[in-house]
Amino acid sequence: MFYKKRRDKAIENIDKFFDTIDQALLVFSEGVKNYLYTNTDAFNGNLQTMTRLENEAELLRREIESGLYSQSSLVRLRGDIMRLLEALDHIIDTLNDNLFQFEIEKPYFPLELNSDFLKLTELSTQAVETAIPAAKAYFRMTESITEKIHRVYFYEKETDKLAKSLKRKVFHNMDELKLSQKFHLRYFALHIEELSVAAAKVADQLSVMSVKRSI
Amino acid sequence: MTDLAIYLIFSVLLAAYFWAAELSISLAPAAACQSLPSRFIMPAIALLLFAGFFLYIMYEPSSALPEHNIIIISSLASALILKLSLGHASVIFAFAGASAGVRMMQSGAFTFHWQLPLSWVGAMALTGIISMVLCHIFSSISARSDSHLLKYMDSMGKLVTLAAAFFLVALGLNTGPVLISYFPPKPGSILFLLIVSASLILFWRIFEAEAGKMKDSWFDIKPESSAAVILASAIVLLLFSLRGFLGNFGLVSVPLAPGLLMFSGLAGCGIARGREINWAYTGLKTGTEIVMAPALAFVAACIVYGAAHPQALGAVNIQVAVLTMLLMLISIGFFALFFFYRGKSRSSVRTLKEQEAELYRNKKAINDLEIRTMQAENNNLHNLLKLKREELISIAMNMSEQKEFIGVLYEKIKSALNESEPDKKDAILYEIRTDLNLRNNYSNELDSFYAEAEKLHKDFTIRMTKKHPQLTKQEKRLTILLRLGFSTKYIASLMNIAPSSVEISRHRLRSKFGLSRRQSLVEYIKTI
Repeated sequence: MFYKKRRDKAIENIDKFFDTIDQALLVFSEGVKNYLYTNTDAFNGNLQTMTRLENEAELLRREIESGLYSQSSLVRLRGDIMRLLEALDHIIDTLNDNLFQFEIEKPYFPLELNSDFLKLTELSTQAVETAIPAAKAYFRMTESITEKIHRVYFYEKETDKLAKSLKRKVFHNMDELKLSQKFHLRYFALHIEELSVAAAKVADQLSVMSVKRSI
Repeated sequence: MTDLAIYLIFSVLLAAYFWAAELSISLAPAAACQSLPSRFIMPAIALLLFAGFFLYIMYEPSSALPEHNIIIISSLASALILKLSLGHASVIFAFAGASAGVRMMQSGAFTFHWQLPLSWVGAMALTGIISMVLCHIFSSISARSDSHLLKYMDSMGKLVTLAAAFFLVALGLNTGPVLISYFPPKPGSILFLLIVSASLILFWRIFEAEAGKMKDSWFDIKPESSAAVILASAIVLLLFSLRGFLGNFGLVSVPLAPGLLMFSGLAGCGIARGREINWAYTGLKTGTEIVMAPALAFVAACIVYGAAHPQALGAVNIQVAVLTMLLMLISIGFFALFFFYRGKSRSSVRTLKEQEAELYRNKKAINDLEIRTMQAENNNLHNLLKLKREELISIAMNMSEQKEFIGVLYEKIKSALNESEPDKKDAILYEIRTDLNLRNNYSNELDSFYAEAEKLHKDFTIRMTKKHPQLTKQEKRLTILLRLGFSTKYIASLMNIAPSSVEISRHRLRSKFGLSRRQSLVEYIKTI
């Protein structure tokens, strides 16, 4: 029999894990904004916070996994839950890696692209933001997963569209940039876009899990 | 003493059969939810079953059946035979048939209680219906509940555990008449406890293995379904333990087969969830078991009783004999029908499997072919790469050599220009000419050309040397060039000789090869 204390701890950890991802998203958005507007100190602060959040999420995921293994009644759903947590953990890893790429590679962003990159970051993080309630719904209201994941797919498509138009702009309209700079910008657009792709993967996983619970 | 020994051995075996073949199926849905730590399972099962059994004894202290050994042996034998042939058989049904057989042999007359099979079928139908309703209820609760999944699953686990406990008590209560009949002296005897405990301890591993096997096949069962199936079975067991209540519906309280109840419950859940069920096969299998188990046990009890008491055979009238024969024929008929149907389904399954296997083999062959092709392509590419690399190295070396040579020439020409004395100038120019001549003769390019030609016509030189060891190096080179189809003029320039010298060399080659005028030298070289 699963002991109440351990169960409540696992529930608490799962909620904390989701909150950590939520926080990491905010930090990432802030980090990108600070980099684009060259607020170096604030950006360095964001980097530190992101590292801490990534470590916290990793620890929480491990704790949740060991908790799930000790809960015998969850044997049928354990694998799915683990996969979901891993997919979400991958998102926070991506956030961390992306922010560090900014710090390591110090890409050059022309001023006129700032708003586009900010919009891209916003859309991409929104895709993840909408994936989190869907993941939470799996634990409380399975029925509502389907309607929630639609939003994830919507934001993922929007991110894709914007990323394409941004890349087109960089390669077609910005002759003053060197090819290497263009490549660098495309590379960072891809990095930011990767977040929405990871969110879509979480949505796919949730969709399968919801079907599995309904049959 | 012998009677007691037979009784003890067969009782333990019978109880073991009950654990392994029936209780394991009944508890498999609970095991699939893993709602209990394994160390508690055995004592919990024993305690709950005993609790149910003693509840029965409290209000129904009936006496043991006569000739219990015959009943035990007949029930066990028929249950085992059916288990081996059908895959599942209830010893409870067999018990009813064996008891009827012994009673008939003792009294010499047979009375058929039609309510008995009707109650068995009714119990199964009721289990299916209750399970279907419960499944609906639990599923709608699950859909509406907004409690955390972990809490919900925990609660469902507890519900399944409680349902299993309720089921075990109800099972003890329901099978009370059977258990009581099996032990001779009086109800509540310590002997009964010993037998049941001994069989539980001795055959616990088999029970666990069987339950595990069943659990694995139902691993996907949801806790809601598990709870519904177990609760429905427990309710039906309880209902069929109460005397008088079922009389209003034309049924009687009878011991029920827990395994079959569980199957009915699962079918009910399947209907609730809109799953497809093979009714023809399930119905035939269940019907065969309901008819066959008591019929076979009845016939077995008659035979064993007749063998043990030959004098009783005289009292058996013609009607009884006809009935026994009829039962035997019905048993054989059911067996035949079941095996025919099973054979048919197995054959279609086998065909499907064979087709799958063939498909797999074909796919594997295609994959192997693809792998081999890729390997061959890889090898080719590897060789090509090697060749290109060698060529590149050779070109690079040539280039550096050329550069060096040109450098030397440049220095010599420079010194010749600076030289004022005509003799010395001539000497330097003569030296330059010699260098250029040497360079032309011993060009590495030509060497690499011959090496490439060797690679192209593998082992040609080796074969040539073996066949005509008297050829000189120059002649060997000439054969290579002729084999490549170069003209006399081109050969002359490559070998740095005059075209007439090439013609002479060709003539010499012809004579060394021993060719007549009509034979072509090039054609001959190509055959080597």
